This record gives sequence, C-alpha cells and structure tokens, in this order.
Amino acid sequence: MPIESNSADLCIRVRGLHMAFPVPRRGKESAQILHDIDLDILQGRLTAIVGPSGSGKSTLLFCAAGLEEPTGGTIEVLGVELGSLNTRQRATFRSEHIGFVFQDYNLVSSLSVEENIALPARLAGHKVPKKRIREAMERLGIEKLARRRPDRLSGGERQRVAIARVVANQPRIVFADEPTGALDLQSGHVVLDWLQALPAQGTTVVMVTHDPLAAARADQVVVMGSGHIHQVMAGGDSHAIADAILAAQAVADTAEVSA
Amino acid sequence: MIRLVMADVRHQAAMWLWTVLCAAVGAACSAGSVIAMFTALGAAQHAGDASMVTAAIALGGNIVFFTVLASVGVVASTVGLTLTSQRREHALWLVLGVPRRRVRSVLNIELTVLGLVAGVLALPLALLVAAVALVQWTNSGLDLHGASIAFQPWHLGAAVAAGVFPCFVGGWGAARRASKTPEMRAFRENADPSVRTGVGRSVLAFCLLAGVVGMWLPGLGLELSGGLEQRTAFAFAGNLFLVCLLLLMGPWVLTPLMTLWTAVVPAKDVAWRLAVHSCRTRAARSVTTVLPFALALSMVGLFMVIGNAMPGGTAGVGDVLVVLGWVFVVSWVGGLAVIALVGRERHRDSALLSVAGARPGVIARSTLYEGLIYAITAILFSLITLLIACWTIALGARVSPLNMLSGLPWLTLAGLAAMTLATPCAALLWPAIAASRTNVSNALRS
Repeated sequence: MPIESNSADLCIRVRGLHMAFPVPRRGKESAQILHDIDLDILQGRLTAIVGPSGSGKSTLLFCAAGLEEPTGGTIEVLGVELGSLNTRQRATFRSEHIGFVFQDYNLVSSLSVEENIALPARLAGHKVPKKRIREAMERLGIEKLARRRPDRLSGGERQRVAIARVVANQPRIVFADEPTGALDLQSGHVVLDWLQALPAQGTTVVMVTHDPLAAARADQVVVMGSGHIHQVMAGGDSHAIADAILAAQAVADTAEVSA
Repeated sequence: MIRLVMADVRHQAAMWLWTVLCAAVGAACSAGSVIAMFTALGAAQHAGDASMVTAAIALGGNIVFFTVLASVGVVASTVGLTLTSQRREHALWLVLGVPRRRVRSVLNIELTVLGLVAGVLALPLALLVAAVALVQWTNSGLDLHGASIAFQPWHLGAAVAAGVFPCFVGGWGAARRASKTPEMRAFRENADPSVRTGVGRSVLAFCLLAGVVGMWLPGLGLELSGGLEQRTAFAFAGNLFLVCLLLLMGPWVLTPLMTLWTAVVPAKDVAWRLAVHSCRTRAARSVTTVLPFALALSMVGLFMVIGNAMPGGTAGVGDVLVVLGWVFVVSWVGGLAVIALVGRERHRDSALLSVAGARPGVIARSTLYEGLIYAITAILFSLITLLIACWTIALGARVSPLNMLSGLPWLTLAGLAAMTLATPCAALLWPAIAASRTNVSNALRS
C-alpha cells in the first residue's frame, strides 16, 4: 500500500516484498513472514512501523536495512537496489549511509563508549574528528562515560550512546528497532526526542515500535498485521494508532481462525 | 536432582563436549602414564632390577605429576568458561528457589558424571599412550626387561579416576563461584565476571613463592655438599615453582604482558584494533586461552635449559618430550577447546560489527588476529621464563648465562614457537569464517 510521493523525495522504495523462513525440522516447509509488501518512505521524515507481535515489523526493517535478504521483491534505498549489491558492498553502503538503534545489544562489548561512537566512520575508512564525537557525547550528556565499556552502563545510557553514534556519524537513514522497549519512561522520552529531532537535519528515521504513544510522534505510521501492510496513516493521534493496531490484530486473528 | 542433572547436561551438551574431550585426553595421557609406570615397575621388580625400579618411579612419577597438573588446569579452564556462559541459567535456578548448596551439588555431580564418561572413553587411548610411553622410555636408554602392555581390570579404574579427578578438582572452584554469584548480578552482567584473587589462590601462590625462594636461596647463594649439580637442581626446582606461580597469577601476569606488547604495535588497521580491544576486554577469557600454550612452551624451555646445564644432559626435543610430551598434548587440546568455546561469544559482536558496516573480511581478520595475540603472548611469556631460567640456572651451575643461551637448541624452540603461532590461528580459521558470515538478524534476535 504505497503512499503518494514524488520519486525525488523517496528514501526507501519497497515493491512486492516477500520473506519466508524455513521451519526448523520440517524439511522444505517455510513460514511466510511478509506478503507482497509495497511501501514508500520519504526522505527527512520519521516513519513508525507498528503492529502486533509476529506481524513482520522487524523483518521488514531488517530487509529494508539490507540485513536480511528477502525471498522476493525489490528494495531501493537512496536510489540503490539492495539486491544488486554483494555482501561487501552492502556492508560499505551501511557504514556510509545507515545508522542503527536497537532495543538492546547496540554496542560492541569490547569497545569503550567513545570507540563505539567512532566505529561506523572507522569501518568506512574515514578519520573521525574527535571534536565531533565529543560534541555528540556532550549533546547526549554522556561525556563522562567516554571511557566506560557497555557492560558498565545502564540501559538508558546505552541507548543514548547509540543515539550519539547516529548524531556523530550523521547517516542519511536511521533504523530503530524498538528503541524504547527496554527503557523507563524518562529515558524513553529522551531517546524519542532525539529520534524526532533527526529529520530536521535531513535524516530519515524508520522506527519499529509497539508503543502507540511513541508511534504518534512519527510523520507517518505503517500499521502491519500478519505480514501485510494493514494501513498507512499520519502520526499524531496515539488513540487512532492503537485502534489501527487492534484492528490489524483482529484481522490477523480472523485470518488465522479461517485458515 | 538426577533429572535436573541429566536435563542440564543434555541441554548444554555442545558446550560440555569440549570439557569431556579435554578430560578424556587428559585421562588417557595421565592413566596411560600410570599404566606404563606400573608395568615398567612390575617388570623391573620381576627381574630384580633395583635401579630400574627407582628409575621407573622417578620418571613415571614426574610424568604423571606434570600430566595430571596440566589436565587439571585445562579442565578447570573449560569448566570455568562453560559455567560462566551458563551463569544466567544457574541464577534462574536460584531465583526459582533451588538452594545454593543444591546448585553446587548439581554442578559437582554433573562434572563427576562427565569425568566418568571421559574416563571410560579414555581407556583404549590410555593403553595406546602406555604402549607409546614404554617405547619412548626404551629409546631413551631404560632397560624395561621386555615390559609390554596388556589390559587388566585396574586399568579401567585408573582411566576413570584420571577422568573424574581433573573434572572434580578443576571444576570445584568454578562450581563454587557459579553457586555463589548473586542471582541479580548474573542476570545483569553481560561481561565476564572480574577475576578475584581468592583465598585458595592466595594460599597456593604463597606456597609457590616460598618454593621459589626456598629453592633459589641454596641453588644460587649457598655452597652445597652435592656440589654444582645439586645447586643446579635447586635452581631448576625454583624455576619450576616460578612458572607455576606466574601461571597461577595469570590474570595479573599474562594480561599486563598482553596489554604491554599490543600497546607498542601501531594500530591503524581497524581489524587489529578490534582484536586488541576484544582480547584486553575479555581478560579472563584471554588468560584462559593463553595459559595452556604458555604452560607447555615454558615447561619445554625450562627442561631444555636444565638439559643443557646438567653434566651429561641433553637439550634435545626428544628427551624433553619423554617427560613433557603428554603435557604438550593435553595443553594443546585444552587450548583448542578454549578457543572453540570462546568462539561462541563472538556471535553477537560480529553481528553488531556487520550492522555497523564492517566488511566480512574485517570481521574474519579481527578474529584471526585474536589468535595471533594469544599465541604471541604465550611465546613472550615463555621467552621471559626461559631467560630467567637461563640466568638463574647458569648462576647455580656457575657458567656464563650467555654460554647457556647460546647452547640452547634455538631452531627447535623457534619451531615450537611457530607451531604455537600456527595452532590458535588455524583453530580460529573456521570461527573467523563463521563470524564473517553471521546471520545478523538471527544473532540480534536470539
């Protein structure tokens, strides 16, 4: 269900996306996770993907980020067809253009906070100005944690480091998978404030969340249910989003019963 | 409780397999040496050869002692790593109301069962080891009066005891730590728990230090009735205690050594930087990996020095292998097992690196570099102990340390160092390829 857009504004273009996973110990049997997904995501916007558990939100995010190879369909990111890139080229593309914030396990455990922030640029072979890293840490209020390792940080601090990494490296797209899922209310708000502020700098943010309040901060909300896009709607109204998620759940339940 | 033990062993089978392998190899080598010793002893007694009885006890006793020591050390390392990776599950047992004492009993029973299995599996190998040992002893000049190996029921007992002993003793501390870790800390901490000195380690370290001082004082400073030979023997014993002491204090010796030498290597390559950080961060794991290689190499170096110093002694690798050959086998298998166990931990970090844009080659290279760092640390440690041994034994024997150094079989030592360098890298080749091909989404979801 594509939204109306000019192709010049498009950041991510998904067409006919299918994704199936083999069922363990069931021979050639596979489970279809995504069914014929068409989706356009505009540049410089915050897009939230919501839906019940098992609806394929994270799989769609991983496919769009080039972390998962779909079984069918095409994905264009910043005008580049991901299917045409090999593993090495996809890695280079990620290090140059894409940033990530996950629910947990955001940081490489053997590197300090400072080194984790500098990592994507180092991997891309760029010299990272220390000033930029320091500024990012200062903006996130984590400058005192610079030399600490991830296992010595709280969940909220780790998420702020992940955001600082995005701020310092200025990727064109940020994929966030349940970024506030493991955080308390206040830490969650801090993370969402930052994600919401990124589009103002031209960064496109795609966020998977269960939380209708978090999704309501988005410019557009993609509601998923049992591997389909159930609805694409504008953000702002958390009640409407919650109702849409429940409706997607009901449709999924009905389909499951009739199957 | 039996059900819990069996379920836990089954569930963690892939990890426990490495402990069983180490225990089985250790049991085969230890029991094989015991069988060879008693077979040689029986033959010597039967022939009424008193000097051969003494020689069999001296040589066999030394071999058994060093092999059992290596076996306990190696099994302790693998058990420690396995239990550390399962600490959240043990914390869950505690949370669900299983008393700490019960958790410890379950783990000790698990280890005994594994030792039992390893011992039974080791029996055929033990007979083979015993046969090889008898050939080695004969080739080194001992007259064994035609002693040969034939299976006897007590051999099974020896193999089982050699399997159970290292598992029980080596796993005792790890099981104790696992049962005593506060449950919420086990849940929260993702990193390796920090290494503490502990009372047992402190007492043992103090005893070894006393051994070093007690042996070096007469060996280096006193005129003894036994002359230079006795002084040299005391100096050698002091070095033996020193190597054991330094390895016992591995976290405070090997880690700084690793940090020091990696700090002087220019680190422009991102893969090298990642490897260095990974080795330094997981210091306990790194020490465990370096330890078996450092133990084997430094022991060989020490025996080569004494072989060079003693009148009529030789520093040939064949003579050293008679005493330390099985130690080498046990240590090498242990080192490989530790590397394999540690490989599992890389899964998630490799996924994160891949997400951040690391090319597969960078991830693979950084894994291989870790093996290189472990091996070089072991080689440097052995080189340091070799130099100390040369200096102290030369003082004891009243010869020039430089002469002592120049008399060592450097080509053989270089060959052993090259083997040490190649082994961890070869063992890490497959984990490196696997790490570079990590399924990112699966790793992040698990």
